[in-house]
Amino acid sequence: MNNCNELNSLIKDVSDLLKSESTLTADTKLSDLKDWTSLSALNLIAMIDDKYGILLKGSDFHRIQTIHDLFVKITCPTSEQTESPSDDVKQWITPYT
Amino acid sequence: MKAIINNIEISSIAAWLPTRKIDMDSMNDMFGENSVAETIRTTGIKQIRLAEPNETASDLCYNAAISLIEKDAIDTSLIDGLVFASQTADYIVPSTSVILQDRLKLSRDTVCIDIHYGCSGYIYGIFQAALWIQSGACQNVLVLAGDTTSRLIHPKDRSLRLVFGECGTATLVSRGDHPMGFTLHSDGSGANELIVPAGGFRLPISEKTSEFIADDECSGRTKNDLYMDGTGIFTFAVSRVPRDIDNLLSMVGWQKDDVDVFALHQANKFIVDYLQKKINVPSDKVPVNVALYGNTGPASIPLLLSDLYSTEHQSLKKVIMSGFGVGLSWGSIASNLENTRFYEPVNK
Repeated sequence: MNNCNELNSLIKDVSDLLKSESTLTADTKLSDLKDWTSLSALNLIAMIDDKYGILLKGSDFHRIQTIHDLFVKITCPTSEQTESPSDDVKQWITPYT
Repeated sequence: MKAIINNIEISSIAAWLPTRKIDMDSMNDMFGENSVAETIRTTGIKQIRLAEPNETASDLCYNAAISLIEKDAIDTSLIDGLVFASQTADYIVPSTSVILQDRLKLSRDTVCIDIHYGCSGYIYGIFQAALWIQSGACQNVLVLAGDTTSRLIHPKDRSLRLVFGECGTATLVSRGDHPMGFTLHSDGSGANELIVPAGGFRLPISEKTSEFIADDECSGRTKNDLYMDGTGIFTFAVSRVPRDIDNLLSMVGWQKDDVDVFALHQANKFIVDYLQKKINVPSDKVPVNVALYGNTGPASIPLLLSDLYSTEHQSLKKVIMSGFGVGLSWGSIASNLENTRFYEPVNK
C-alpha cells in the first residue's frame, strides 16, 4: 500500500470512529470536529493502538493537530523529539517563586 | 519492586457506601446533555455515591471497619496494625490512622501508618500489612482504604465530576497458609498527569492559584483542584498494567488461564475493558462494577470484591489485583482468596 492509500485509510478510520457527519481530509483539524472531546482522544488512542500498533501519549496531542499530523506520527513514530513540559506544568513541579 | 511473602491471607473485606446518590444525568444542565451522555456511554458510570459534607474518608472507612469487626466477631485486642490508604486525610497533621486507632478502640500497641496514594493505594496497603505480619511485628492488620475525591474536584470539572465516586473499605490481613506475590512500580516523571498543583508546601494556595482556568465553555478548574490528563493516564495504564501482570504471573508461576479473577482498579469501564483486551483474557474474568459507584480510588478493588463475591460463589484460588494511578504508581498482587470472607457493601 502506498502512502496515499494509507493516508486515505487512516482518514476513513478516523471518520468511522468519530461518526463524523462532514467529509474529513488530511488537513482536517481534530479539535475543529463537532463534539471533539478528551473522550474522542481516548477512543482515537485506542483505535490507533488496535489497528496500527502505536500507543500515542497524551502529550502527542499537543503536536497532532490534523489527521496528516496523526499520519506522520504513525508512519514515523520516532521522527519527533520529546516535548519538554510547558511553562504551566513546570510551575507545578519546580519550586514556587 | 517484586516480592513473594509467605503465609499471608486476606481474611475478610467490607465496604461502606455513602447513602447520597448522584445520577450522572442530573448534571446535564451544567455540562450539556450530549456531553454527559457520551461520557456515560464511554465510562459506563451512571451513578456515584458521595459522602455528606461533614463526612470524611476516615468516617467512611471507620464505618466499614466497624461493620467488618462486627461481622467477623473479631476481638479488637487482636488487631495490632492499622493502615489508612487515602489522599483525603482528616488533617495535614496528625496522621489519620492514629485517630482511627483511638476511634476503633484498638490497643495503644497498634502500629499505624497513613499511605498517601490513590488508585494504587490498596496494593500498597496490603503490601505494608503483609510486611508487618511476615516480620512478626503484627498478627492482624486492618487496611482501611477510601477517598472523598469530590473534595479535590472543582465543581465545573466535567471530566472528573462525571467519574469519581466515594466509598470506605476495610480489609483484615492475617497470617495464613498461602504465599502472596507483590509488584510495585513508580514513575515520578508523570507526577503532573494526576495532581493537585497547589495547596502543598511547593505551591501554597494564593490568589493566583485560585484563578479559574477553562478547558472550554463548560469545564475547567483552578490550581487548587485535582487535574487529570485523561489521555495520559489511559496510555500509562495500557502500557504498564498488562506487562506488570505478566511479570507477576511469571514470578508466582501461574498461567494466565488458571487465574480465576483479575480484579483491576475500577477507573472506568473503557479503561478496564481495554486492559482486559490487552491482558488477553476472557471478559468474564475481568469484572467491572463502576455503573453505580464510579471510580472510588483506593476503595475500588475491595469494593469490587465485596460487591461481587458476597453473593456470587466462584473459585477464587488465584486472584490478581492491580492498582494504578497517582504518582505515577502501579502494582499488583497475586493471592489466594478462597478463604476470604466478603461482606456485602453496607448501603448497597
